[in-house]
Amino acid sequence: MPDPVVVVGGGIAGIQAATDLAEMGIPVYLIEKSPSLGGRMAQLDKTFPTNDCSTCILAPKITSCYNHDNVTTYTMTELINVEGEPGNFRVRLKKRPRYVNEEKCTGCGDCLDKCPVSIPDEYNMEMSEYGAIHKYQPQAVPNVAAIDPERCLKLTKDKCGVCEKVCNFDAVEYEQKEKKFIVQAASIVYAAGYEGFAGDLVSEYGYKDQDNVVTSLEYERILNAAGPTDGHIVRPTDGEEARRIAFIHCSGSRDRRTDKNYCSSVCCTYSIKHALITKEHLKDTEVDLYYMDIRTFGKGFERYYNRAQETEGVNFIRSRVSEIEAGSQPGDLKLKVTDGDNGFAEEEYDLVVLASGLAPTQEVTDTLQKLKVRTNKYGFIDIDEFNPLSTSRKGIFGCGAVNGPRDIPESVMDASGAAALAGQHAVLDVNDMGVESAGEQEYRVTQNERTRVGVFVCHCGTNIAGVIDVDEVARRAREIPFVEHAEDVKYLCSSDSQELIGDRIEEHNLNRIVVASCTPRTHEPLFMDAIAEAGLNPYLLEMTNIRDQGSWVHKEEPEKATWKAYELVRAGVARVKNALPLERGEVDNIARALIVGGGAAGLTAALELGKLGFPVSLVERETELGGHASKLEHSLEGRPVQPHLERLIKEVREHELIDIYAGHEIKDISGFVGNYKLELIPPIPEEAKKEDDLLEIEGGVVIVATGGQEFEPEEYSYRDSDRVITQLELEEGLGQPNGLPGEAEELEEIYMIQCVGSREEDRPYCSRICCSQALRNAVNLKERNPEAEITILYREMRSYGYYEDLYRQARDLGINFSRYEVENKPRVTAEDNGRVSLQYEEPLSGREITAEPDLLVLAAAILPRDDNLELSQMLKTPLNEDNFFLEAHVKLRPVDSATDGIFLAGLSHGPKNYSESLAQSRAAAGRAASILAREYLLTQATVAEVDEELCIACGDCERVCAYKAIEVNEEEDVAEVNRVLCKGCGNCTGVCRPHAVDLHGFMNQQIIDEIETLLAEDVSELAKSGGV
Amino acid sequence: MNKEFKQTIKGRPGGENLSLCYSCGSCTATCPVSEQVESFNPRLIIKKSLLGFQEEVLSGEEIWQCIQCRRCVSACPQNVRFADIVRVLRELAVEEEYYQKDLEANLDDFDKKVLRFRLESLEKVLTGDKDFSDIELKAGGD
Amino acid sequence: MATARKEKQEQQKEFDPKIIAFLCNWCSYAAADLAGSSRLQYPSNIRTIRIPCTGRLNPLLVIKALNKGADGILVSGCHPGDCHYIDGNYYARRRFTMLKDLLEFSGVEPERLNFTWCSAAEGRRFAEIVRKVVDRVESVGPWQGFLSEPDVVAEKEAGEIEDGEFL
Repeated sequence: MPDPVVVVGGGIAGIQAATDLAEMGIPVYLIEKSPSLGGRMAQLDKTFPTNDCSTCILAPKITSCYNHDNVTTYTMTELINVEGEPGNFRVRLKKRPRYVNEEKCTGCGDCLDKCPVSIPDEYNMEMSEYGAIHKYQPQAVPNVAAIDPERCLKLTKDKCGVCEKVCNFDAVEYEQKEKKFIVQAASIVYAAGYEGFAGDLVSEYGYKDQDNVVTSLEYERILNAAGPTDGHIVRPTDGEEARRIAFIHCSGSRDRRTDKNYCSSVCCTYSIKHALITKEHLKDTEVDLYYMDIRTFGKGFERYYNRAQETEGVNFIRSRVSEIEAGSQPGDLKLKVTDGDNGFAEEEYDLVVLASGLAPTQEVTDTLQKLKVRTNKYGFIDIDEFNPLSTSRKGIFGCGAVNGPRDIPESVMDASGAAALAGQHAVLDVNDMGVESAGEQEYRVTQNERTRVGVFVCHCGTNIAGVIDVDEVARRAREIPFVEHAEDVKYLCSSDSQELIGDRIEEHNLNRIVVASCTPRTHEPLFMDAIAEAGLNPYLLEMTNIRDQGSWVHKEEPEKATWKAYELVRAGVARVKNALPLERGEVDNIARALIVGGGAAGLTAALELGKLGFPVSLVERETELGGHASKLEHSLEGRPVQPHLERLIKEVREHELIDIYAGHEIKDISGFVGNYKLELIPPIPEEAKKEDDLLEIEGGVVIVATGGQEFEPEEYSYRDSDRVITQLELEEGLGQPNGLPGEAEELEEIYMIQCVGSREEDRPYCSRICCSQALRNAVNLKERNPEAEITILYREMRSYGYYEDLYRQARDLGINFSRYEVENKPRVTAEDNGRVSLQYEEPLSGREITAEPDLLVLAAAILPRDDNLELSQMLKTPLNEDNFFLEAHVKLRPVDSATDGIFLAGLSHGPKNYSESLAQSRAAAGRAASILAREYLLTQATVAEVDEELCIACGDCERVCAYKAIEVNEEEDVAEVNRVLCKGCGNCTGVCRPHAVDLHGFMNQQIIDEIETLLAEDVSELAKSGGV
Repeated sequence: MNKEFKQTIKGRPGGENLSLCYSCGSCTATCPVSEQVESFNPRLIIKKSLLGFQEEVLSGEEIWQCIQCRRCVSACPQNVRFADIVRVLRELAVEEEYYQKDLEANLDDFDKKVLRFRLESLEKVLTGDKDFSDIELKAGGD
Repeated sequence: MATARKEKQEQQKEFDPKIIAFLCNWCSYAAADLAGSSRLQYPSNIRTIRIPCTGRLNPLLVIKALNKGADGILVSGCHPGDCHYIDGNYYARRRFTMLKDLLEFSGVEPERLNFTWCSAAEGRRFAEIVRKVVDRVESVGPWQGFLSEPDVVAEKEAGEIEDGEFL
C-alpha cells in the first residue's frame, strides 16, 4: 500500500485531487474546515458557459469521493502545521467538536425544526436562517447535523437540550471536545479555496448601507431554487420583483486602492451568466452590465458573450461605476456612470449586483506562511510558471483558487495535476496498487430458488411513521404474492437494523429485498452493502421512496399517502422479482500510456507519468521534439523558454520508462480504454516502404497533445509587406540577429493589432494568450529601445489574472493603448517603398489617426491543427465547433475527452499559454494514472445487453449511443455492447424497435411489471394480469 | 499631433501617472462638474492628452472648468490623479501661451455661474428644499 | 355527445387520477427528493418510476401505461444541456414529440401527455409541475381507453401549451 496523501480543502479542487489520488490506489485524508464537503461550487446556482445546474453535476462527484474506499474525510478539521520532509510529513490537525456523533447521526432531521434558536444560514450567505443545530446545506456530505457552540442554549447557558431529547440515536453529544491529532503523509495537496471580495464596498458601492446592493455570491443564492427566495429575483428590502438590475464588473479587482490590481478572471463570464439567467427568470427585466473590458477568454465563453449581446437583450456599458447612492424611491439605487463614449450619466436600478473578485482568505495566507510555502504579493501561492502546481516547499502542492484566480475547469485541471505530482511522493507500487477488484465476494446462488421477497418498511422516526401507517403497509405487504416476510423498523439505516436485515435473510432464506424508506440516491449503496454482507447479490434490492416522495410531500393526506406507499411497495416487489444477480466485469488493462505529440504538453505528461512509475510511448511526427514551444523566445513572465524546454526534452530522453517514436506518423488507432493500439509509420523514405514496416504499440490510455497552429493573416497587408509580421514571428525575430526588419533597438514606431482572426464571425472564439503575449513583446521592445513609440490597438484588453500587472507595467512604460471596433477595423496599406501606412478611428475622441509604423505586429489567432479532424475520427472522440478537441464536460472533466481513456493536453484542447499547457499536461498525467494504476478495469454492472436472436442489426442503437459503447458487428449482423464503455443510460434500449437491447437494473420487463402493478386495482386483478 | 505631449505632462509633478489610465471612466462618473456640464469629460481629456492633441487640450476651456474637488483622485482605481494632471495642463497652457484674453472672459463668466450655482444650492440645502431640478449650470456664455 | 360530456363531469367530482411519472435519476428524481426535504406539498396522484435517463424511455412503455389505465403521463428529465449522459434528454424529447403527435391522432387528449424538465435544485418547480399535471389530467376526466369516441376528442383544442412549460 502506498503512503497516504493529505488533501486540504473539500471544495471541487480538493474533491478532484482526492478522487484522482484514491483512484491511483493511494490512501487520502481529505480535510475540510466546514461541516460539509462541496465548497464554493456547492453554493452556485448554475455554471457558465452551459448554464448547467451546479448541484446536479457536483453532488454525484462529492458522493463518490466521500464513499471511496481510499478516502477518509475529516470535516470541521483544520491544519495546524506540518513537520518532516516529503515522503514523511507529520501533519498536525485539529478537529472542532460537531457536538453530533457522525457515526450515529443518520441525517433524519428530527432535531432540526425543534431547535428554538435561529442563526444566519452561512450556506445561503446569511440571507436566511437555520437553527443552532442544523445541516450546513440541504445536501450536506456527510449528511449529518452540527451544532453552533456559540449560539446553542445548552452549550452557552446549559438550558434547552431539546435536540438531545428528540434524537432517537443518542447522536447529540454536548460533551464533545476539540481533538488534535497527527497523520503521517507522503505529500500534501493544498486546495483551501478563496473568498469573495469586493473592495472597499462600504464607501464606494454602498454594500453595507444599501440592502439592495448584493454580491455575486449572494446573487447565486437568490437565483437558486433552493435558496432564500426560492429562486425568485426579488429585492432584499421589500421582496418586490426586480425590474432593473445593474451588474458591476471588477468590484474590487483591477484596483490599486484595494491592493488587488489583478484581474479575478471569472467575474466577466459569471456576470454574463447572471444576466442570462436573470433574463430566463424575468424576460422583461432590464439587465445592464457595467464593465471595463469584457474578458471572456475561456473555451466557449466568447459565444456565450455574443449570445447575451445579440439575442438575449443584455446591455453592455463600457464604464466603471463611480458611486452608488440611494435612488428617488425607497430601496432604489442611483448609479453614477460614464455614458458610453459621452460624459456623465445617472441611472436608477432596483437591484445592484457586485461582481466580487477572488482572493485568498487571511487564514489561508497565514496557514501558507506557517507551512513555509511562499506566497505572492496578493497572498496566493507563489507559482513558478515553468513548474505550475508545485510550491516553494517540496512535497506540498497547490490547486484551485489558492494558486490564483481561476474558474472551475482550471481548478479541476490543477487538482488532477497536483494529484500526479503528490502521487510521486507516495511511491506507487505499480505491481500492487491495492485498488478494488471485482468478484472478490462470492454470493449465494439464487437462480434456481423460489422467489422469496423480504419487505422492510422504515419509520424514519416520525418522518415516515408520523404520516404513513407503516404497520398497515407492512401488514398489507405480507399479502403481496412472493412476499415471504415483511416488517416495519424504526430506523432502517442504523447499524443494528442492517444486521437485522441480514438475520431475516438467513432466517427466511430471502432472495429479493424491498426497502421502503428514503431515496435510493443517497441510501442505495448502504442497503446494497447490507444485503451483500448477508451473502445476497446486492443487485437483488429494490428501494421504494416513501419518505422524500411520500410522507414529506403528502402530510395532509395520511390515508392516501399510506395507500400510495403500499402501491409503491407492491410495485417494488413486482420489479425486484425480475431482478437478476449482476456483477461488475473485469477487463485487462495495459499499464502503459500512449502519448500523441512531442511538444511541451506531451513531454510534460510523459515525464510525470514516468515519474509515477508508468511506462510511456511518446509519438511525435517531426524528427525533433519540442513542437510549438521551440518557437517561443520568452514566457509571459519574461523568462527564457528554451532552457526549460531543452531540460524537459533531456529528462524525457533519459527516462528509462519512456520510449520515444520521433518521426513516426500515426496510420490508425483502434481499441478502447484499457486496450488501445496505435499503428505507426516509421520514418522510412517513401520508396523503401513495405507493408510490414508498420509498427504497433499498445497502451491502456491515450493522451492527445498534438498542439495547434498560428493563423496566417489575410488582412492588414500581412502578405504584401515585410514590415507586417505576427507576434510569434516577432518573438522568434527577437531571439536571433537580423530576425526583424531592422534592429529591435532602432525601430522607432511600432503598432500592434489584436484579435487578428479571432473573435470574428467565422472564428468566434478568443485566442486567450494574444493580449498578454502582445504586452510581453511590447515591454521587451520598450526595454530594448525606451524611445520607441509602441501602440497596441485592441478590442478588449484581456490580460486576465496577474497579467493585469503586465498591462499596468506596459502603461507605466508609456506604451499607448487605443481601442478599435470590429465594425471599423484599422486600415493598412502597403506603400511602394516597402513601408506601410495605417489609419484608424479612436473611438473615445472620434478622431481619425494616421501613422507610418516601422513595424506592424499582428496578434494572429491560434488555430486547431488541420489534421485534428482525421485524428478525432481515428480516436472516435469528437471536436468542438471550432475543431479543437472536445472535453467530456466543460466544467468537471476538462482533461477527459468524451471517450473513456483518452485525455487532452495543451493547444489541441484550445488556446492556452505555456504555463497553462504544462498544468493541463500534468492533469492529463494524473487522470491517466488513475486508470493505469488498475490491473483490471471494472465495468458497471447495470449495462445494456443485446439479445442476438431479436437483433436486426438496424444500427439505431449505435447511432444514439454517446459513448460508442454499442456497435453493429457487420460480420455477425448483430449489435454488440462494450461493457467497459457502457454507462447504463439506456438510450439504446429506448430506441430499439425489436426490443433486442435491454438494460440491466432497468429491464423492460421490470418496468412493465411496475407499470401494471401500479395501475392494477387490487391484488387479485394483479394476479390475473400476469403481472405477478 | 504632438507625440511628445504625454512625455511633457509625465515629466511634471502631478502628471507622472498619466499613462496609467485605462479609460474606465470613473473620473467622469464621479465628477460634479461633468454632472452639470455635459462637455466636461475627464476621461476624454486624458485620452486626448495621451494621443497628443496638445493644441486642442491646452487651448480649450475644459481644463479651466475643473474645480479641484479631487473626487476623481479618490475614485480612480489606477491612481492616475486627474486633478493633478489638470494643474499640469494649466501650467502648460500658460507657458505655451494658449491662454487668451477672450478665454479669460468666458471663464470669468463661468466662475460667476459656478458661484451662483453654489449659492443657490446652499440656500436650498439650508431651507430643507430637496428639489434641485430648477437650478442648472451651463458652460460657456449664454 | 353532450350527454357523454355530462357523464364525464359527473365522474370528475370523485375523479382521483392515476398518473405515471417517469423521472430521470439525476435531475428530476433529485428535484422530487428536494421537494420532499423542503416539505413542499403536492397531490398524491403520481406514481414515480425511476429511470436512469429519459433516453431510456421506450415510447411503448408510455403506451403500455395508457393501455393499463393510467389517466396521465409525466416524463421529466434534465434541462437541455444538463443531461448526465450527454444528450439522452434530447433523444427523449424527439421521441416524445413524435409519440405525442401519434397519440393525439389516436384520440388521446394532449393534457394526458406531459413532458418537462426539472433540475436537481428545482424542488419547488417539481411540486408545481405535479400540481399542474394533476390539474391538466383532471380537466379531461378519466381515461376511457383507446376505444373512446373520437369526436369527444376532436373538440379539444390541439396542442395547448401553457407558458412553454410542457411539451
